[in-house]
Amino acid sequence: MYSNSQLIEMAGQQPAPFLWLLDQFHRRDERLTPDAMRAIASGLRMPLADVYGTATFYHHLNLGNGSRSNPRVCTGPVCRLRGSEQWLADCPQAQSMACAGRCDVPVPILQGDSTHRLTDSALEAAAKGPLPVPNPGGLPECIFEHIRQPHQATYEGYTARDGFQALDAALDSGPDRVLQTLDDSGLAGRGGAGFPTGRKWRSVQEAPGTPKTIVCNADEGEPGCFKDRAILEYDPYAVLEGMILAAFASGAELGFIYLRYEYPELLTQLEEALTACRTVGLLGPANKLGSDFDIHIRRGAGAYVCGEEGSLLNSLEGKHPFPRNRPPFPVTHGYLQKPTVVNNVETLAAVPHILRHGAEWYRDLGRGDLVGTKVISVSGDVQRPGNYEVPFGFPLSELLYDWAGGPPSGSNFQAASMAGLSGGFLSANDFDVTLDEPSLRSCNSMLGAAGIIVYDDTRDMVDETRVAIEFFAEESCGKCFPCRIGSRRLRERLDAVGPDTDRDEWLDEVNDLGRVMRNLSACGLGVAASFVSDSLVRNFPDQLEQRFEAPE
Amino acid sequence: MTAAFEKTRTICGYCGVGCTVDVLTRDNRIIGIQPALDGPANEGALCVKGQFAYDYVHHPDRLRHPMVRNAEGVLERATWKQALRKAAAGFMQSAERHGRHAVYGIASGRTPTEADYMMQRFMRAGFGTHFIDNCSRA
Amino acid sequence: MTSPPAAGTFMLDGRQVEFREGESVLAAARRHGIDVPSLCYDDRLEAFGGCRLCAVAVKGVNGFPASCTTQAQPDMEVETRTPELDDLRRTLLAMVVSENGSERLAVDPLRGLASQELQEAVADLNPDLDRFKGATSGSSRPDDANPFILRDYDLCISCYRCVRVCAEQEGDYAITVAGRGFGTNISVEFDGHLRDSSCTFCGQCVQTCPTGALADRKAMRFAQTEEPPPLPTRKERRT
Ligand SMILES: Cc1cc2nc3c(=O)[nH]c(=O)nc-3n(C[C@H](O)[C@H](O)[C@H](O)COP(=O)(O)O)c2cc1C
Ligand code: SF4
Ligand code: SF4
Ligand code: SF4
Ligand code: FES
Repeated sequence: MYSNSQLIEMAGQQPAPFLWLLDQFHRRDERLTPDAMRAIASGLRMPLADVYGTATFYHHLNLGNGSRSNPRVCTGPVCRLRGSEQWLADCPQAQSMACAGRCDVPVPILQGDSTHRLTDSALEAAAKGPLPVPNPGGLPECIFEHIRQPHQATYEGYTARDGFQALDAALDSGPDRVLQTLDDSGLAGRGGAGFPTGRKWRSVQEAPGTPKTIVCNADEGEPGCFKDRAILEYDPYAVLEGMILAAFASGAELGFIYLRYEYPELLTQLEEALTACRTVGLLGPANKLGSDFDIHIRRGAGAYVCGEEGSLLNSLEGKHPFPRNRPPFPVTHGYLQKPTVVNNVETLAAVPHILRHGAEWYRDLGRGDLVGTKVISVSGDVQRPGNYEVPFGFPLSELLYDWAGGPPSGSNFQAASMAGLSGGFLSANDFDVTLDEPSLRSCNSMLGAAGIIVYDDTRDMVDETRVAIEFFAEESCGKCFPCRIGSRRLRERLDAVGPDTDRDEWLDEVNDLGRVMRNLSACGLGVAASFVSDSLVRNFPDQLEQRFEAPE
Repeated sequence: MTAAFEKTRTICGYCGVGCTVDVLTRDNRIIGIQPALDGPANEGALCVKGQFAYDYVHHPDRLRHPMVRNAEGVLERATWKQALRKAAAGFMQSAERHGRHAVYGIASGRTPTEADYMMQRFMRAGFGTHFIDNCSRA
Repeated sequence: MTSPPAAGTFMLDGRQVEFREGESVLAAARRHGIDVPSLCYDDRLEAFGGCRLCAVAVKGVNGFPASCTTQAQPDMEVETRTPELDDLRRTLLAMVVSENGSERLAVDPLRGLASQELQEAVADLNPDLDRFKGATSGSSRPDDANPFILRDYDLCISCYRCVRVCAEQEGDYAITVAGRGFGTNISVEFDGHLRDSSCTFCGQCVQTCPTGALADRKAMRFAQTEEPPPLPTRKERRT
């Protein structure tokens, strides 16, 4: 066990020491003690008040009497459909956690560094989630091209096929070829915002200032999304190759994987993968790129908003994780105000495949004018939950009925959430949409990071909206007034909708709260919450009206 | 609930920075101090003394006239002339008895530069010592 | 203080106005006599972009960016007051008022220099004060036994001006943002008292607070306008 001063000294030798120290002290003492916070403050020359304030931001850090090893039960929207709240109530020392990214195998329980799965009958180990099933439509895949191959998650397995071939080719042809291919491929961000990846990397390449940084955003906090977890579990080297290519193309020397707290097994697995890459000279001092590029894993500590890139960068820097004002953008003013690429796991994983097969191949994977593919996490009331890679423009109904097996027997689909929860709820009447932004925008929704939670006709959509809004209210960071106040007010209105409610006032207030949040929020979280409340009013008016009526 | 008060613009008397303040008064008594946002030296900032240490103005213990000790060592009201004479005599006596370096002058941090100049002339030319300092030198 | 040179001109509410190097749209607007409402803005501090009352419409830009964090650019076209913006601001301000209840909106100006800002914004935008009723935020700290600063966070609207002035102006970093979302509180380390923190009692947090949530306890005591919670006795203070 390390002493305070040993830990501080170790932290001093690495970038982004604050998050690392929080995790180390939290592990060592099972909680974050005042003594530890004092040591961090003096060791990193930070104000003690700020160390304390920032630590209180993160849900998973136990500052009081709780312990790191107390079980955390997922009370995300899918796990609640499976009764997780009841289990939580039955287990006094357990605490609840927001969606833990295992909606395909509910209900996860996180205890220290291991995850178990709680079902009606058993508690089973669940270190890894299920492997994505072979593409039910027999369509060509990009991200999942090799994911089901044996030992794909090992260095030997990865290189036994065509692993790191894209990198080797890039080293021969130079950074500009990489950027050109990405531009031509039309690859855009898969974390939700859809910014063209080639343009992002080029901006960093051209921006003045060093060291440049590559951040892999593995925070995956969106409820109903578990695709990044599957990619990292079964094809981690593709993501690392993507990061190394990003470093090569943009001239970066520093890399981070910002990994959400809820994926502790991945922490170990990724550390091993990084060691393997260092051993063969892909990372670390004087590596194959001719640079010192290396990758460091930093663990989040329980905050959805830390997936937002500005907030993520503040978190890495040890600051209070509020989103940043933009412009400037991370490509010029990112980690420590230096040029920084922030990319989602899936975006990075796509890059080696695209470089190997060429831009044309990738473009052609999409339907019609749309380019490429998207991994979609499907969960909830559906026969075969899991991750599916679909071409952009794929029909939602085909995914839900043909691939995912349709509703549980005896029921019908009623609704599906989009973009995890951020796109609100589509009614089953709208299931003829295709999976792409233009089509979903026409339904006042969005594809985003592409988590889809399906609800059958036994579900009460007012309750489901309440669950969703509760999440946003819990996760609102408190920076901007529209979301900090609005998410709370929406939650209260959904908590108290009943026969005693003044219907017109309720609707008026909920509409106005949503309008202010959508138009004035400082980041996408507040905007997302408004999508949810709006979708209830627009798509499920009957269920809402029923609530206002006195019960017979 | 809210009381009418007057604001008087002035300079904080505590140190040489010269922060601009508004003194808040009611019935000719100070009830508070606020920094002036347009104060050229402070732009709305103050320190704890300038902001909060104004009790002395109306404090019953505040000295309102010179005092000197009588033969029994008890302080008694005096005129300025008497008080200055007494002080001068004390300084002179010390210097005569123990030499010119027995006297040491410390100027207040509140003194403006001109007064500081006067003070050092007074010590150097008057007593012939260079034992002179200013408390805000720290 | 010398002002930076003029850097160009842009269109502001249909008027061609010049702006200075690095100047925000908000600062430029105010300098030209256009009053954009705000609550989290203090021109001495780095713009924060929290209250969003200063939102404006910029031609060619989606949504309504905060003018305090938007740099003025040549050829920009900005509208500070459109019917839609006024309506959004009015609704937002009603939300802000609901946070602590409208009953305590009026506060003694002795509380601090900026303490009237929220009331003034309400007078300007005239929101419906009875909307969006719900839980109130922030918890006051009557237990903080210092003679100078009243920590009446029941009035707090989480603009973080106090935290920012303490860091940026006083350089003291005594207070911080603790918790998150609606449950955010202004706090010193370990939720303690100011006198146990690195606070120097300079009072700058008090003077920039737009609601009177941080108040000049001493002035209130001297003027006896409003009875602040009594100071604990010496004995209580020791415990
Ligand atoms: C509230 C919020 C949460 C987010 N969470 C994530 C996340 O968990 N993972 C992610 O990759 N992007 C997330 N994003 C999007 C990021 O801000 C950013 O756009 C993305 O990481 C960029 O990578 P990409 O271009 O590869 O998509 C989030 C955005 C918001 C507003
Ligand atoms: S929208 Fe919500 S999460 Fe985003 S900055 Fe505002 S308060 Fe924070
Ligand atoms: S009074 Fe204390 S908390 Fe307030 S600004 Fe000054 S040092 Fe900071
Ligand atoms: S105490 Fe005042 S200045 Fe500080 S956050 Fe609250 S309202 Fe803003
Ligand atoms: S003044 Fe711009 S957001 Fe508050």
